[in-house]
Amino acid sequence: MLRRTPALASAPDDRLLARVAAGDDDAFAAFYRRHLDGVVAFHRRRVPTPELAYDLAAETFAAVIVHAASYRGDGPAAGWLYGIARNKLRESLRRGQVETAARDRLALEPVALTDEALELVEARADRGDGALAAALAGLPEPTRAAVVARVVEEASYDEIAARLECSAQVVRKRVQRGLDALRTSLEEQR
Amino acid sequence: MTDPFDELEQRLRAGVAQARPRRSRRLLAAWRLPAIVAAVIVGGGGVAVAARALLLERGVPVPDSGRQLPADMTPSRPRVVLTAADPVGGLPWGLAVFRRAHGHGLTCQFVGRTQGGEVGVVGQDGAFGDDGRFHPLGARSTKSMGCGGGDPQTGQFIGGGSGPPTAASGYSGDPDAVAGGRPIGGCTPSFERRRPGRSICAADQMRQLKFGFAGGDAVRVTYGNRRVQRTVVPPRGSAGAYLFVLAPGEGAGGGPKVLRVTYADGGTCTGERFEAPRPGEASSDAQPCPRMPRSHEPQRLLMP
Repeated sequence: MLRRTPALASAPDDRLLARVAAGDDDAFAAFYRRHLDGVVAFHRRRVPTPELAYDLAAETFAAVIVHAASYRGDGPAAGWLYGIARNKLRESLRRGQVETAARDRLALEPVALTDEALELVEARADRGDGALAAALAGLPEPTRAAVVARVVEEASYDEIAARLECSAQVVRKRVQRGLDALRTSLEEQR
Repeated sequence: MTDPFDELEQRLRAGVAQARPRRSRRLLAAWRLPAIVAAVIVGGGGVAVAARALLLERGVPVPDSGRQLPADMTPSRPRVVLTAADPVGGLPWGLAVFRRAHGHGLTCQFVGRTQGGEVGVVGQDGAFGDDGRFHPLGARSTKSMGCGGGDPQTGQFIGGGSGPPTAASGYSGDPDAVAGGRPIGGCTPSFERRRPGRSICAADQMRQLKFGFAGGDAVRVTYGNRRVQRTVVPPRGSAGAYLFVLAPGEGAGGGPKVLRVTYADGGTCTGERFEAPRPGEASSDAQPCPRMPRSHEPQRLLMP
């Protein structure tokens, strides 16, 4: 039976990560549940099978635990999280094999996936996509454009600035503001 | 049934305690994985050990198709602007574009299976000796290429394609073409049709593709009929790219498949039909999109 973490469910990400770094597994559970759909959807969009998306999500959250103490709070935690997800994906693509360093550090046993479990992975990815799409649609266009370009297309700030005809500094602000708004919106949808 | 994400949460929770700073002893790694290449999924409800391999092994590139590039065209490196899952599984499909390496005004697109930012062919269904490898396609080796005016950066329409079924491997060239010293093989419908006596491609080894560019202000593209409906949100900066991949017979009996585009200003329009009207059949109530010419026209006009 999984423990419930009602008091932490509304805590901001940075506080959760600080507590994770101190060894609070309830705080980790709250962070995990808040971001799980999005992370699974992020990886599922980029890899050919649900089990690969599952493995990458597992590795991403394991890395959150391993590196929680390194989060300084100088940017949105969601940006930090998706930076980890991107790095894990990139490294896995480079190696031709899903990265396992963080799970190795934590000595995690792999989870066997049944066909039914794989369907749940797909369902969660769909949910993450749907929630994100709805939240994105609610952003003002300049902010939405910056977030999509940066987070989805992984374009550089300079490239986005050229595309949107504004400064890189403005793009950074829009991305940060957009990610904050997305986080709020996604939390409200839960 | 146990939710794999609940199981993962439990294991990660335990990992939080393991990771606490005061317990810095080196942990034995229990997640030892073989460097397998192909994802292995046990079907029929059996347990599948989570597949760890991400990439197919790289095979020899698809050779030059002999198809002429537009005059004065030195192609840039192709860029994948959109991907779509395969309805049966395996590598997704990718829509790639390339343009003149210098200058603007002409962009070409092609499709295939995609991996690591490249478009290519998978060695399956007889192609490349069923080697299971990913064989990259380039601007000069694809046979599915089409070119048109405009540019993804300016948001102008640059063409698209649909038509005969495509091999699930992603190969659209001549099966007799030689790569790595051997005929590529497989079954390419457009080639089979020209060769009396040759086999008809097996339906389950085919895919129906619909792809193109609806314009830079397209925010949503749907495709389907009463039985099947797919939606694409074109990536920003992709000139409204869309790519739909259907299994053979998907949507059968649901009427003609229709492409519908929604633009940022809320306007919608309906593109050309996927199947040509049958004799005596009404020509469809669909009205062509004013900002999206029929897919074959730009290619016909602009290809030299």
